[in-house]
Amino acid sequence: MLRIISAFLILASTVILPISVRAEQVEFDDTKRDIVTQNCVTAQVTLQRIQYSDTATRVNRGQTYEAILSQFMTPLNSRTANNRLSAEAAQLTQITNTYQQNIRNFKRHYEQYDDAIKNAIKTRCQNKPQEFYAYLKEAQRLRASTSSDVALLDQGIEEYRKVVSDLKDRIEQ
Amino acid sequence: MKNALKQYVGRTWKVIVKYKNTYKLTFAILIAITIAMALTVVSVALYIATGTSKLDLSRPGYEEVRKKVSTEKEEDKSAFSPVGTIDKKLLDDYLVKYKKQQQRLKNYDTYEPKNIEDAQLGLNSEQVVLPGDGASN
Repeated sequence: MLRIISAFLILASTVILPISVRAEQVEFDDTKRDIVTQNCVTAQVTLQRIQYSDTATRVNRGQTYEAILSQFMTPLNSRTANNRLSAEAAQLTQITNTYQQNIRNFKRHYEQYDDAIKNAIKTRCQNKPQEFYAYLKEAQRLRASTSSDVALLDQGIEEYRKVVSDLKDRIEQ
Repeated sequence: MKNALKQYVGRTWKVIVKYKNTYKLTFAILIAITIAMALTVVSVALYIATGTSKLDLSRPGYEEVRKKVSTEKEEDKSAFSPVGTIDKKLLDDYLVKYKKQQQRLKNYDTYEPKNIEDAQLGLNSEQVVLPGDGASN
């Protein structure tokens, strides 16, 4: 029994407390409270529409990232290594490793963002405007992280293309 | 206390064994239902824990979203072989297919942070509409 209580307390301190702390950290004066209470239902409708659209984007981007990795990067890495193009193989493998890490970050950040935006949508915002606003701020922060991951992934894809293009030019000579 | 619990468990077990021998079919059905429920709980737990639930577009409310998901399977046909020589023609072909994937990505949203900023959602102070005012402050 004591163990169950301790486990609950640990869970509460790691999960529940950080959420309430985050809620406290968000700047929220009376003016803001009035604005949020007044406009939050409309904001929630907009957030719901964005959340639906974001899910489709996540699926489309995820599929394309995985396709690029499994059908383009991995086979060419093996092929360059097999053809003793060790310099290029090392370069391409290094870009691929970073790309894989960025895919993992993208998935993780998107999941966290999705949780935050869903919490903002679910919150009874007119009764709990501060809680709604805290979730919204969290969603904004995580959306920015997801956007950075997308930029890094696109950058990695372009970097890989440039190395392949340089390899092609070298073979051509 | 321990003895009382032991006796209780013993009595309950005896009743279960008695009923098991009398109602074999009922017991078999109950066991089957229990196993099915346990497996369902495991499946749902995995469905949620792996994040699949977040991407499941068959959920209610996602009918419109399903239409936006790309169903092109072109990439399946153009998979690159990991074995063989590397020459200019091969890399030309590779780059053409690779650029198609890059182009595909450009058509998708990039999770622009501004889409859910306070201003976009009407949560900025200058966007307050006072009752009966009819104008923004």
